[in-house]
This record gives sequence, structure tokens and C-alpha cells, in this order.
Amino acid sequence: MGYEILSKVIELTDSNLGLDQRLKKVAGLLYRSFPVDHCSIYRRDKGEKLFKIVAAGGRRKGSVNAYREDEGLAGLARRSKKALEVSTPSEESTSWRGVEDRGLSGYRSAFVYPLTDGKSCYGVLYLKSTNKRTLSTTNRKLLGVIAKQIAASIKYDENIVRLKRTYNELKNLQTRLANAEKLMALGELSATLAHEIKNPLVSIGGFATRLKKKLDPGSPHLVYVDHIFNQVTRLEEIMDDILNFTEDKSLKFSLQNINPIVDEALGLFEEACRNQNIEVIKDLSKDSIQVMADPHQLKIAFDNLIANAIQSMEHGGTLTVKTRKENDWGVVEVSDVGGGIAPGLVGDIFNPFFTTKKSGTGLGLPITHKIITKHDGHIEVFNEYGKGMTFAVKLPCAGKRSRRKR
Amino acid sequence: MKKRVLIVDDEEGIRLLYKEELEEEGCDVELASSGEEALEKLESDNIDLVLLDIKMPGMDGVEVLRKVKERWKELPVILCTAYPHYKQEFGTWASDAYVVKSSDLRELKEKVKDILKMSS
Repeated sequence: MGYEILSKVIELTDSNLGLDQRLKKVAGLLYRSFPVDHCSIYRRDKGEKLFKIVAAGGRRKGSVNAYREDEGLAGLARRSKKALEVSTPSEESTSWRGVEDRGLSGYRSAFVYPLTDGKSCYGVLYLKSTNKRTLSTTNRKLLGVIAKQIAASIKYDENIVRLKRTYNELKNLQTRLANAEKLMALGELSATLAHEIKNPLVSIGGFATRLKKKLDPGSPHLVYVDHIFNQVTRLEEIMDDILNFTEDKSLKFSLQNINPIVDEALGLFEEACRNQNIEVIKDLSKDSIQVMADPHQLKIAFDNLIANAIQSMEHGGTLTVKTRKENDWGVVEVSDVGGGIAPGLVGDIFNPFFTTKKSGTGLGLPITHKIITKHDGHIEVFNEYGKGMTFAVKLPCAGKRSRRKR
Repeated sequence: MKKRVLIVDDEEGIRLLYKEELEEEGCDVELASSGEEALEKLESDNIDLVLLDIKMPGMDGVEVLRKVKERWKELPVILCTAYPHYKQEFGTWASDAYVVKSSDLRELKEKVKDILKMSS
């Protein structure tokens, strides 16, 4: 009869069901096959340092949902890596050889097996009886083998879960790498194009300016020249954006206070805000926020965020710029009320050439992202579709920084 | 006496534009469309300042700069290019100024005036 149970346990633990389902069936089988009134299986949660019940069969009484790693007979079995055969003087007694175990309440004997492969402990198996009992040598050995089999199936399952996670991470990484390669190729092409286009633009814009000087101040042709000049200037800005994005600048880091950099960036947009009827709320931290930064680059990053916010509010609104210190991070928040973007598009906003606006190169945010990443920081995006967006730049405060990579 | 500026650029439009603008500022202007031509002009003419494009077919601006500084150590050179990142290249450290090309010529003209005043 021993071999029958064992082969059933193996069959159950090998089945295609989820692990918890399999363990439930095993617990039921053990409760029916051995002279006990209760059987439960606990899985170890290493993170929480707990044994958590996953399966039980038989009487409900005295069923403990979770043990701490060091608690009760479960804890003792884990530490000793040995099976315990416990009997108590009465059903009320909950301690055995000085070990307290809530689960003993209502029982006279208990058999506790650590679920281990000899190295790690994956859980505990409890069998309990309301009568005073001992196990036959055969049953003792049989339960020992069954405990090993259960441990092996939990271990196997954990490995599968880990493998799946690693596989997914690798797949993500691969996708990101492929994207990065695509972007790099795109970047190189754009840089070459931008360079070739810039020279003619200098001529066009420069001569337009010369033409303007030659025209009468009241000439009706001035408008044309202004158009040429303004459009060339716009193109030049786009080309500079592309060149700035694709070139790999090495940054010059020094100790900086974020506040004046944000203030300076914001100052550039005073007129634009007035013209567009945008109210500016500036709430900069009174204390200085010290970070290791390239101030010029950081200003470009903030410029882009602010410009982005302003562009989203064509018909006026409120621009809020805040700075604060949060634990070891310097935080700069730029919020607009420009309606946000469709939730499905949020993942694309840092991709080059992606834009939801009529004007703009789609390079502002990618440049900001690149700069902030180079500062070991990151950007959190809060998009409320229909309301607006908030970009929170987080930079590590000076002193917290581990090692600079570059 | 008027200051003489040599403009080296392979683009005709840029040469003409810089020439007219700098003549307005009161300079005499010489033109060269390549590095080789620039070095010839420097041998024969009395030049006070060189405006040098970096990306040119044949001898590029960085090489021209090195040759100029080897022979005429004191002659000021302003490098002009569309690329902001040449700034970091070793060869360009020797230049006296660096201007990123733009249709807005104010920065270039400021630097020209600055340097010519300094060396007069």
C-alpha cells in the first residue's frame, strides 16, 4: 500500500495543474491515506520570512494560516532539517519540549516534516491526530520520501517561475536593444542630413537678413523677407535639436543648486506665457538642492519640459513649476493643464520624432530624457487624459551619488 | 589700416554672405574655397584673421588649423561649423574661437571684432 500512495503522490505532483492545486490534492490524499485527522502543507515565503498555508485536508480545527520562519514546530523542523514526532499530554496543550505551536490545540499527536532538498527549506508538512499515535517505521520512511517529493515539486515550480521571469526580462531587453539600434541608425542618418541642410539654411537666412537691411522700412516686401527668415530660423532650430540629440556629449559635472537653473529656464518663457495667456505658478524650494550636474545641459532639459508644457496650452492655462527635496532626490515638477494625451500614447513620448503637436520636432522630450538619464536621474510622467500632464524629474542629491560612470 | 580677414569655406553662398557682412563691418576680405587654397593665400597675403570651416572636401579645417598654427603661431583663427561637437576634438583647441554656424551672424561678428581689437 505504501508504493501505491507514493506513486499517486508522484502522479499528482507531476500533473499539469498549478502548484497550489497539486498540493491541495496531495494534502487530501495524505489525510485519507494515513491514520491522521488533519494534514496541511505550508510554503515558505522567503521574502516575508513566513510559512504560509497552501493546502489542507481533514479537520479544520487548529489550522494555522501562517507561521513565522522561526515559530513553532515548523520553525524547529526548518532549523533541524529533521522530521518531528510530537505528542502532547492533552488536547489543550500547545507546547512540546518547550516549543509553542498554536496548531497543536485540539490534537494529541503531530508529525511535522520539513520540505527540503537537503539544502534549502521550501516549506513544512503537518499531519495531526486527535489521538495519541506513533507512526510505523514504514509510514515514517514513506512520509520522508513524500516530503522530499513535495519539496522537489515546489523547487521545480519556483525555478520555472524564475526562468519565466528571466526569459521575459531578456525578451524586454532584446526589444529595447533592437529599438535602441534602430534609433541609433535613425540618429546617424538624421545627423548627416541635418548637417547637409544647415549650411544652405545659413545662406538663405543670412541673405534674407541682408535683403531686409536693403529694403525701405515701410516696404510691403518686408513681410516676405520676415517669413523667409522666421521659417529658416525654425528649420535651424530643428536641425540643432537633431544634432544635439544624436551627438554624444560628455558632460561636465560640478556641484549645482537646482533652483537657479530652473528659475533661469523659466525666465526664458515669461513672454511666451504672457502672450499665450498662461498663468505661471512658481514654487521653488527655499533650501538649496545640491546635485552633481552639468548646468548647461540641465537647463536644456528643463527648457524642453517647460516648452512642452506651454505648447500643450495653446489657449491659455496654468503652468506649475515646483522643486523640492524628497529623501535623497532633488525633484523638479512641471505641470500643465493642456489636456494630457491618450493613455495609449504615454509609452511613446520619449521616442524621438514622436509628437502629438502640430509644431515641434518630437525631439524635446527625448533630449530631456537623455540628459536626465546621463545625470543618473529619471523622469516620472503623470498623465491625466482630458486634464493635463505632470513631469517629475528626479535627480540624485550630491553625496548620495554612487559612482559616476562617465 | 583695414583688417584683412580670410574666409575659408567650400560653400559659395557662405563665402559671399560672410564677405558682405564683414565688409560692412569695415574689414577687407579674401576668399578661399579649400584648405589648400587658404594656405596659398596665407603665404602671399597679409592676413589678420582666418574664418575656417571644418567640414571641407580634401584637407579639412582641423588639419588646416594645425598647419596654420605651425607656421603662423600668432595668427588668430575662428572655427565655424554646423556641428556643435567638434568643440571637444583635440585639434580644435588651438583655435581662438569657435562658432556654430547660424543664419544669425551676430555671434560671429562679435567674435571677429573682439579678436581683431585684441590683436591690434
